[in-house]
Amino acid sequence: MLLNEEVRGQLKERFRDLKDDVKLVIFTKKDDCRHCGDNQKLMEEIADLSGKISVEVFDIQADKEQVDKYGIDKVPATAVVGREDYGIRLYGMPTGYDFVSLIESIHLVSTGETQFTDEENKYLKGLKKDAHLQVFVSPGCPHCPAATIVAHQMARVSGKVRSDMIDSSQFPQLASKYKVSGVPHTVINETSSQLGAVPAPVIIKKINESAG
Amino acid sequence: MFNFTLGSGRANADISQVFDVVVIGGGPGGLSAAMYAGRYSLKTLLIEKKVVCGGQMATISSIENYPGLDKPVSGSHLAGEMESQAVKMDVKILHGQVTSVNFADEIKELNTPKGLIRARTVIICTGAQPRMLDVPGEKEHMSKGVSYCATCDGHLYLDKTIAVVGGGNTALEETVTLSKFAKKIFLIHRREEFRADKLIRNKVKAVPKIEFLHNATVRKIDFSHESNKHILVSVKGEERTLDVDGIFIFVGIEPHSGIFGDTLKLKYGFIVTDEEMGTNVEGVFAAGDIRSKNLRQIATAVGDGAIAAFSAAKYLAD
Repeated sequence: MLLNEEVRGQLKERFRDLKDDVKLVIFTKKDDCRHCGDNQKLMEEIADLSGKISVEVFDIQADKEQVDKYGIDKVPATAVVGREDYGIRLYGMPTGYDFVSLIESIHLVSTGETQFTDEENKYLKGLKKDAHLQVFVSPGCPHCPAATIVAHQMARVSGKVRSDMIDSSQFPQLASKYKVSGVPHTVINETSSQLGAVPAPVIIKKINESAG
Repeated sequence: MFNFTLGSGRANADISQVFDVVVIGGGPGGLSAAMYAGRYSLKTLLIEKKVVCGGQMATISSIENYPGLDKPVSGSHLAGEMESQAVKMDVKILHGQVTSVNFADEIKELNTPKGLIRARTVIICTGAQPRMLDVPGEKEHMSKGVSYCATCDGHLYLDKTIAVVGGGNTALEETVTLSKFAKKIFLIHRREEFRADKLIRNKVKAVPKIEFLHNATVRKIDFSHESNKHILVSVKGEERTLDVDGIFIFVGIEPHSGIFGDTLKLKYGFIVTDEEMGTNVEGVFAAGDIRSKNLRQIATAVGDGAIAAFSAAKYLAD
C-alpha cells in the first residue's frame, strides 16, 4: 500500500463531505514512464476509500479517442472529473504537498465550493475566450497548493478555464521551456506568467490582459 | 518511499462560539500551543493563513537537531505529525488570515475573511519570513533565479551553478541539500567564520563542489539576460562577478507582527513577553519565532508553545 493506515483513515473521514461523484481519469504509458504505475496505484487506493470516487485508466498511446477528449499530452496525467469535466488536470504523481492539491481538487469538483466573491464569479462565468492555466509546483513547496487551488477553482467555476497542475520535478523539460526557476509559477495562456501564490483577482487580471 | 502530506484540509470549525484559546499561526510554536491547550480540554481554534500548516519549518529539507529524531526528517513530515497530534486533541483548524485584532476587552476579537472570531485568550505564533538581502535586482528576480526555499526550488537547478548567501545553520544545511542538484555552489558569507554549529560546518566543508567566499557581500543581482546571468560580489573589498543561474538567500528572518504593533510591546518587531509567554496585554500570549528571544529553533518554539498554553489555561482558571 502507498497510503498508510492513518492517512487512509483521515481521507475516509474527509471524503464524507463529498456530494457529486468524482471520476479520476488516469492516463499511463506502458514504457518510459517512471511514475505511471505508482500514480495509478495511488488513485485506485484513493477510490477504495469512498463510494463516490471511481477510477478509469487509459493509455496515452493506445486510447487516442480519450486522449483527445481530455486533451492529454504527457503522463502520468489525472483528470479530476465531477458531474462534468471542468478541465482540472494533475500532471505527475502527486506526492508531498501536491497530494494536498489532489485531495482539494476531489473536494472541489464534488462540492463546487470556492472562496470567490460574487464579482469574481461573475467575471469568470462571463469569460468569452478560453484561458489555459499551467501551475508549476513541486512536492516540497508548502506555498504551492494555494496557487493550484485558486487555478483549479477558476476552472471549476468557468467552462472557459482549463487548469493544469504540473510537478516541475517530474517534467523538468517543460519547466525549462517556460523558464520556471521558482515555484509556484503559473503560465497563463502561454503568453504571460505569475510567480508565487496570489489571490484570484491577480490571475483574473492577467487572463483579461492576455485575452486582449 | 513516497511522502503524502495531507494537511488539515477544510476546516469545519463553528466560529460563532467564543473559544477558550485561539492560536494565530500553525508553525511548530502554534501547533504545540494548540496541542497543549487541547490536552487541557480548552476549546481551541488554530488559524493558519496558508493552505497547509508548518510555517517556516515546512520549507526545511532535513531536520536533524530536534530531539527524538533518530534519523533526519523533512519539515513537512514533522509539521504533518504535529498537526495530526493537535487535531487528535480536538483542536479546530481554520485556514485564513487574521487581518486585524481588538484586544481591548476581556473577550478578544480577531477579524478574518471568514468572519469575526472571539476568544478568551489568544496565543500569537505568527512567526517570521525569510529576510531579504535588500540589494539591487533581488526583488525583480524573486522566483526568477532568486529563491528563499531550497526544498521548493532546488530541483530546478540540476547541474547548474548557484550561489548561497548566509552563514547560519539554515544556510549551511540548505547548501548541503542544494549540493544534491547543483554542479557548483558559491557559499557567500559576510564574516570570516560561519555562525552555524560545528557539526554542520564540517558537513559543508566535506562537499567538494562548494567554493567558500568569506568576508563577502552580494552587491547586485542581474538575471535579466538569459545568456549572462550573474551576481556582483565584494570579496574582502575586491569586486568579483560570479556567473550563476540562481541565488538562494538565508540571512535571517523578519517578524510577522504588523497587525499587533499598536497594541503589543515590540522589540525590533518581535513581541516582548515574560518568562510565562505573557505579553503586555492580559490574556494575550506569544510563542515561537515571533517572540523577542535569542535562540529560534523548532525545539524552542514548541517549548514556548507548551508554556503559553499552560499560562492561558492558568489565566482562564484564575
